[in-house]
Amino acid sequence: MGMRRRGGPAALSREKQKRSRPLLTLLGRTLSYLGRFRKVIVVAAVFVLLATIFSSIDPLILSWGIDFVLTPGSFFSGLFLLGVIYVVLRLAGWLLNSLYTWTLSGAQAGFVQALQQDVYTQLVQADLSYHKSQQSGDITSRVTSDADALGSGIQIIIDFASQLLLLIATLYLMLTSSIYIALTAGVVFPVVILIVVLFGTVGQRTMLASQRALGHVSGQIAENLSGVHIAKAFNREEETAATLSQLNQEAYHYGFRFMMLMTLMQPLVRATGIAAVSAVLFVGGSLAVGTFPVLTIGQVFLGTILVQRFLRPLLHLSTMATQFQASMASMDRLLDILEAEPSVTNAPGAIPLSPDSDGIAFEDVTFAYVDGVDVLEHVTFSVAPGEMVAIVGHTGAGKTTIAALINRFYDPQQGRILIGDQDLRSVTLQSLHDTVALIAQEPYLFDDTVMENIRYGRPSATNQEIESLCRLIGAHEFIEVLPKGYYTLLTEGGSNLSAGQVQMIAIARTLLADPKILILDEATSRLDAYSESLVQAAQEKLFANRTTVVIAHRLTTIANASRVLVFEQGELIEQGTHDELLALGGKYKAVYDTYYAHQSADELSEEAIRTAQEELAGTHQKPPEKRPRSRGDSPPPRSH
Amino acid sequence: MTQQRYKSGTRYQLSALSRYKGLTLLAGGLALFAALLTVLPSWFLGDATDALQYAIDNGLGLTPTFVYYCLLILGVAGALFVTILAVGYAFAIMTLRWERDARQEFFEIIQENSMTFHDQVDSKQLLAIAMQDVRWVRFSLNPALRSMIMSLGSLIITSIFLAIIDWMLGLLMLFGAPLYLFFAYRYAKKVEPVRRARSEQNEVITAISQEVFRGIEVVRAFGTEEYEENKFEEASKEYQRLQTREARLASFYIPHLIMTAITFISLIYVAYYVLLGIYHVSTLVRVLGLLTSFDAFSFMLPRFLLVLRGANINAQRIVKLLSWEDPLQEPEHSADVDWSQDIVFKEVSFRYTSNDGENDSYALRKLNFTIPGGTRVALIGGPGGGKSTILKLLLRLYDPTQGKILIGGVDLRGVHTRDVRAAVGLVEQDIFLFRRSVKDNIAFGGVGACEEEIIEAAQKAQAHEFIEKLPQGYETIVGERGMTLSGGQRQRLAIARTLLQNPRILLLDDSVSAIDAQTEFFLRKALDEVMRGRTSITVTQRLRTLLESDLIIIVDKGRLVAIGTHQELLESSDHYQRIFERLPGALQHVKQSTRSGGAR
Repeated sequence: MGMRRRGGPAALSREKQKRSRPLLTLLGRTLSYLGRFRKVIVVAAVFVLLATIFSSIDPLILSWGIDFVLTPGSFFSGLFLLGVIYVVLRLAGWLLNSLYTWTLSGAQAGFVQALQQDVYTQLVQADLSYHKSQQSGDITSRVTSDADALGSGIQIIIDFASQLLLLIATLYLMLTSSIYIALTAGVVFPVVILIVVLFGTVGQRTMLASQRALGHVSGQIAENLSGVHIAKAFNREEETAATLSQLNQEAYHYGFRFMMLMTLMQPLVRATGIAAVSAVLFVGGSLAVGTFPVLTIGQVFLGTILVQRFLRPLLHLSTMATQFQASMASMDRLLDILEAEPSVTNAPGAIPLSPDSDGIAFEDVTFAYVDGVDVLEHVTFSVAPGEMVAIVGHTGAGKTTIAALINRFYDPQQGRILIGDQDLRSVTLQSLHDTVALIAQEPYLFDDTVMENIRYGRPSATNQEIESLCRLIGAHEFIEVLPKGYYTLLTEGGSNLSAGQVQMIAIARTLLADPKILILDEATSRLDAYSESLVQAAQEKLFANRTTVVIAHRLTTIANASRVLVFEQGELIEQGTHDELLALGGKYKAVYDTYYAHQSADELSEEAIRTAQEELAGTHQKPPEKRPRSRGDSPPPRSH
Repeated sequence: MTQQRYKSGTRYQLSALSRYKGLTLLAGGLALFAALLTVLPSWFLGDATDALQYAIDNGLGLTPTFVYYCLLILGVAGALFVTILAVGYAFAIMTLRWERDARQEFFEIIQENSMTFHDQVDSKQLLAIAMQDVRWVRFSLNPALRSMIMSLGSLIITSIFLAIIDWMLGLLMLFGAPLYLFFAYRYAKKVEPVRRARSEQNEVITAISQEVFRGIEVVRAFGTEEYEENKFEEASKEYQRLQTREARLASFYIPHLIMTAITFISLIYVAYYVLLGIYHVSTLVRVLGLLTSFDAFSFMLPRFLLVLRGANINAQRIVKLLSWEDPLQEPEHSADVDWSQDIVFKEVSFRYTSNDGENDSYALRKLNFTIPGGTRVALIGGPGGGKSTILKLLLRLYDPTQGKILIGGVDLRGVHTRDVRAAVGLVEQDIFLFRRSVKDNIAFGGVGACEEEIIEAAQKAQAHEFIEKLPQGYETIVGERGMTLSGGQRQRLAIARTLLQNPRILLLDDSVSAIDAQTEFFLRKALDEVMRGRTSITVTQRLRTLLESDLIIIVDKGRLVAIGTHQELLESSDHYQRIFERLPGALQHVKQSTRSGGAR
């Protein structure tokens, strides 16, 4: 935890990762994806093929026109015919090109959509461990930017084909009109190679450096915006602006380099084009004069046009390289997701959880998130139908893991977990999630109205049902006084509500779903006394007649539980009722003193006890040698 | 601070150019010159053809005139290289500097806006605008505008050259060129609504996915995967539709046809005159050369037109945010305040402005009370009662909607926020730490604090010990994606930060209830330390804090319910009794105090 170094909001700051698959594999997968749109793409390809052929021969008509007027005895009608052919060719080229764009646009957007949907579905089904290890912003950019980038990658692949065709057609025309002109056109090659090399090396590097620098700027802005109230409270606006300015300057520095490199290309290409015209003119001219002229003036003119044409696809191809690389990198990241096999899936022949199945049993369960580091070891316990059981223990004892396992977010490495007498692995996930509900420590609410957030528990619930439910649990009162009551829009996961209110809504949502089994991870903090009592009362309604496992943080909850399970470092070490365990004087007693005792009425404001507890808490990792027990003996000192 | 820096999106878009007027003129002139240079070779091609024709007709070899024109074209190539490079360099300087400064300016203005603004505008959107929208505007100037200037330049120069050759051709261009531009413009305009809809739809998709991935556990727990997938499919299908529509706009580009028509007419016209023997073949070569080379160099024009128009929408978005009117105005002269004096709330009402402009929820209503200087005050009440709002008003993060807050008899509106925030310190409920070292986070409280002062503050806040145990001690990076600290640890860091600031008035939002005994013990010690010798206002529900306060203020639903000492309220206020009874340990305390004979 806390080890990931990638800075800044997702899309902008992604640092270059090495591609993990060979280019051909990526290309193959991309093309196979395109297979779904085979028909459309074949049609588009025919259009572009014809369009290219038409547009590559139209300069031929112009050169014929020149030669035609030079031929003695030509008639105007012949000239007009040439003109008409020219127009027809151009028109046909234009029409075909437009049809190509029109057709391909649909396929391209469809491709992006299909890909987005697949990636999204895969992500929604993906293992929770994957989601836990990634920032939600990063995951989102897989769906949005990466899919988009691949969309333009498709365009490049298809453009590539048409540009290549144009190149070949132009080359063929040059060769047929004169081998010498074709050879002369070769003067542009060194420049093209220079451009390719320049972009492959320096260009690539500069682009990455520039992206990284921009990522830092973006990260800094994001942080400054979330801490804007602190910058204001401490009068440090100038400082945050100065920090940003520094990063901004750095981004400018790299951005300028990259821009100059890009800018260099244009004059290079244009100047080369014109220099090539000059060369072709000279060579063509030498061949057109003399006693045995090989070329006509029209052919020389054709050469000058063709040599410029020749440069365009070459240029296109070379600039595409960078973009192509980027989209293949996107495909690589997408394949990581698409090819990942979720480890928790419906087993073949999985059956729905039977309506009679109730109660939970852990049978010798061992689980590790990472191999070799067991979080739970040989845990065995059972919860009877309708029973409420509390789980307590220090941080890292494995409490949250138990909740995750009952929901089958993960499968245990050893042992099995049963609901009723059905192994979780043998039932369908859908039926499991219909039966079991989980309320997390910090419940997540969607950016939707209060009403819709509660309805999430059961989409078919009516407004009246929701309202009467809220009345029942005591949430109606505060919801009603929100700016728009039940229709108040929650923003940024409920940041416009207090923590207590968020929990109340989450409780209402779960009650609406009316699950047979409930797993609740109690919130540890940030509840004021008023909300505390409200939540407590609502929880009692929630627990009534329901198989419940609570990761408890409140004394009242523990006291009400029919049994308490005490965990330490992944092992179940004690179980019994609150009173039994206190009397036992073991680990539960120690945990109780550290976390719960000061919540109880008897223990308040007695400094001496507090100090004792503090020492206890401080030594719970080490073997306890001495345990000062000054409970109740010394009178509370009144220092203030 | 009345802003209105930019009157319109277009002005904003062009501000990169208006900022460097001289350089813009120079770059513009050079761009036109470059356009001339791109056209010249076609002209010389005609001359070369003449020379070639002469040589052929007279059975000569290559004439010096022909070679001269070949070399001239080569020379133009060289000059063109230098000129375009110079144009590119000038544009790179202007636009990239502008991008850098625009981003900085955007951030600084946004940061200066009061919290009302930040409540209304989602920070994700602000970030997207600072990064992407600014970038799109820059992109519309360089390369889009830069290339378009050259394309337009060569259209004009080509027209002029054609007019020089034959006035009829000039006339043709006089009609053809505007028609060409008209259709190009119309085409670019069509993209606007589609582009806007598409960007918005993109935001929708982003929002949907981001939300689901953040709340994936809820989706899983309620088994609503299919529902969410359908929701996404609907949104992404709509995006697909818009994307298709935008991409299809690029087909059937009319200006292309106009160019074809012009070329056809010129070909027939000039060739006919050549047939008649009025013109040389060189004229035909020249005319066709001019027209085909324009065609070749304007193939990027449609795309850049779209970029230019599209970026105008981005610019409008930016200007809209930049010209936000802040209801909180700074005074011209900041009044002097004796911060150790009484704090008086006079008829204070406040309402938050909600996103959709329907600001109907009052957070505070006609609040009246006086806090004597130097006292410890506890602020209690139900959720959403207005406690945090009172603290925010005292920090002047907002101004009251009605009524006023006086400190030492001075209205807070007359005091510059800078002075208010130097004198008033805050320890918030949700502690925000920057992604920096522990040391720097504490030093955030005091400009230029030395290491010893920082450690001293940490010690007083009971934070020194745990900081020492962190992997890199005071140099450990905390904050987002940094070392994870517990709530109690964060709170103590925040207290240290405030101790270093040494404010005259201290505001504490201490709403944590269930924490372990050790943390609570340390926190209390730290709080005792930080409250010493200043007026303090604490939002709390700790029994002990209530008992130790000089004054307790109860607010509920934005109204003042009761004010007084613990004993007074216990006797006079039912509301207080109710709250008090709910507090853990309260009953025991009452029993104890009755046993020991009432008040201590």
